[in-house]
Amino acid sequence: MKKLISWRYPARLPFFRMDDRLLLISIGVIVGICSGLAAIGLNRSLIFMLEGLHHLRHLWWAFLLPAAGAMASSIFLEKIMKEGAGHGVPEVIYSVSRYGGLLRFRSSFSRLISACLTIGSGGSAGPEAPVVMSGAAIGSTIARFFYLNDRQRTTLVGCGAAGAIAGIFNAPLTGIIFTMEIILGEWSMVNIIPIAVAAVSGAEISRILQGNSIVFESSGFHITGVDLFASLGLAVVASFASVLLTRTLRRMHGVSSKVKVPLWVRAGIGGCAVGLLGFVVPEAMGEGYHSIHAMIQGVFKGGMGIAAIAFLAKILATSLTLGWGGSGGIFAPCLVIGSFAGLAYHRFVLFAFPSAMLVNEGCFALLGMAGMMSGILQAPLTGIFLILEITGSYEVMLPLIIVSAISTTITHYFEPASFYHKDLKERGELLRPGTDSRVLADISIREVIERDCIAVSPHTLLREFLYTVKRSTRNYFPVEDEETGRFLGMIRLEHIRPYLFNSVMYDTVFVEQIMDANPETVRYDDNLSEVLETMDAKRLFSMPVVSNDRFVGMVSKATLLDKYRDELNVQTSQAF
Amino acid sequence: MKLTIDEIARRLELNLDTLERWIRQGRIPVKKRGDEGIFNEPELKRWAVAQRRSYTVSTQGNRSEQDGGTCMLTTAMEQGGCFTGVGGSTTETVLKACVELVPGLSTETAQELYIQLMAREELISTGVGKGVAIPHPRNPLGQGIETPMIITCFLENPVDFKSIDDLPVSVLFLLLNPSIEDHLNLLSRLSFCLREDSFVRFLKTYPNEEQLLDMVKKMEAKIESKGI
Repeated sequence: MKKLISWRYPARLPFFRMDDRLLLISIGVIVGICSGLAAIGLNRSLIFMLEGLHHLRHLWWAFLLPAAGAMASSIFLEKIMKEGAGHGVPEVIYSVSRYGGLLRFRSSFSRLISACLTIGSGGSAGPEAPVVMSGAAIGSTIARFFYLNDRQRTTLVGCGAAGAIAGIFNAPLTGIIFTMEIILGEWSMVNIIPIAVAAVSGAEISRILQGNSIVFESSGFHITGVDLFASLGLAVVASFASVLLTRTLRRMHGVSSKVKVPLWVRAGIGGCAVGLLGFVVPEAMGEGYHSIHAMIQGVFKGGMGIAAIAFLAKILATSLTLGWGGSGGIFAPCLVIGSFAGLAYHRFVLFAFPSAMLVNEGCFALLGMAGMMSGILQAPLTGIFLILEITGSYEVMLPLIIVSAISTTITHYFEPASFYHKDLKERGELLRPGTDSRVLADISIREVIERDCIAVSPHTLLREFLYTVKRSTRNYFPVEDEETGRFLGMIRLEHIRPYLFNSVMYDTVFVEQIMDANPETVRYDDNLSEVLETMDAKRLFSMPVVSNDRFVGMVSKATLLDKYRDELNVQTSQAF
Repeated sequence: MKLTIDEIARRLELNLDTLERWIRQGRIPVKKRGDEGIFNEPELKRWAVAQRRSYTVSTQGNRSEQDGGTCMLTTAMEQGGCFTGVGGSTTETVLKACVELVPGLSTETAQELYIQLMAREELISTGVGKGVAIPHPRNPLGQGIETPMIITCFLENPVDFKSIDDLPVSVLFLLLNPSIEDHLNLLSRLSFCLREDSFVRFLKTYPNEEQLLDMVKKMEAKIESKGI
């Protein structure tokens, strides 16, 4: 019996208790494999749905298919799973920074199914973010199963995300870097190794089941100085595209939330619109990997105008799908939009300078993808490594770095927060480890409270009060009602100091008359950062904590500094 | 090693809530099982050093409670002892005689104590009036004094001590303390006693050690009941 219990508590084994790296690595392998499997499952079912629905595409009512898919996914998420729409990555980041990576078990499959319904039926969205969400939820669930603590769970959530990305793109490096840059926001040795191992196992499981293939095979490109020069312009175009996509998505959210219909009807309307758009520009439908393939191989037929129209249509279709309540990620649409942008730019340059000796258009499509990814995600490394791994062409490294770096910088100028962090940042809940807001968010009022204040009754004479002053070590005295114990006010020594040496007042003044009856107070569940703001605004050094009309203690800046330093030390130090 | 969470929090001088959160978040090398924490002591010590915290297996908590606790004055007087008929006609000779009465002092320390006492007298007389003086060294002595003590000396002949009320002094309380804190505490208690006229009148009757301690105990109980 004891044996049976102890295997579910691996963290208690003496071997792992002090150094859990080996434990995290071995559980990381399991998490990586599971999330890799989830990625492949979604991939397979998407292919299955696409093939199943293919013969319906040419029918006149085919535009209703995306509507049906979006509706079904919205109903599934909202009514059955009781989760919000969206791609899920902000939820993962939020839970990592606030709840130590605690995610619900049902999240590990809910997004997979809803994304499959949306994308398989033709909605314009990507399968990556839902896979990241489910990978993260798998990591969290496994960590909970083994009773691991918050730090270990956070690492395993990262493992899940890395395994998912690695599995879906067959790109282990991208998995690691995406997790570090976007999900965890912290580069520490303790995290990197388990996450790397999980990424490798996620990629390996996908290689075993799907074969070791590069997603978008590309032929050798010969980059010259002219191409480097041209890529500068492409970076500007890509950053323009990222700003456009971010803003359109946001605008679409605003418009759709004004329409007063149930969520699933809303999703249906968006789906219909995407379906109608699909009649005109079929490239805008679905995840769109087909068209990327064609562009990179250099066999995309349309001219500059077609490419530009497809580029705009894809942005519109993506915002219609995601903004109106469909379910899916932004990864794949980004890649498609980026490659359309690259293609259109290439054709434009050739049109303007027919004699320019440029490399073929596939390379520019590829660079466009990188620029778009880096711009939208505000994560240049993720963009670079993703493109490098999914195209397998190392020779484009130089322009790739240039485009990513410039695009990130320019986009940052217009949209300071990345697409995934934007909402969190606006709510003030992007709490990266080791930052001020994170430290303050982790410390609770309960931990900094000081309870050594002596309470006095309002009917005490100043003379008697002086004895209390003598006994106390603090400068603050709460005044409490004698019978009910209700908090009435505060006496601050600095306010009454002049009267203390006036013996005439000793027997004529009551405590009631010298107390501050309306002090700023703090409640147990207040946010420390807000408390500090109040202190700064009112130039206070301490504030009384009042709960249920009763005085509990004081919160002071001095003690807070102590705790703050401890917390910062503990958060930023490498694990023991 | 196994200890209750409370005990670990006390040893690390941490808030209980903070400790429990750190354990939950995995920021401290302690595992929790029920209300007990399991840890490896050297490991935790290393962690504490890295975090600039102290980890102490201290019994010091009890000591600081004793300081400034009840019957401090009585204990100090008991330690120092009570002597009658101390000779001398000037401040110097009286103090020299007093220093010799201090229990357990080496000759060097006694010499230093005398110099310190005189240095203090030069600043301003320690004669507090009503025929009483409270001589004490200018700085707490570095060695030789481990516990606070008061040596009570009833003089053979009243001596002019340049007191504030110019009355000749007949009772000396020699105040010796290892720390400033004890010194202030004892001085405050002693001066409270001396403010009471009944106590000064009682001193004039040259009581023996037992009577004196009884009286001081009563006075001290009064002080403590008032919460001073």
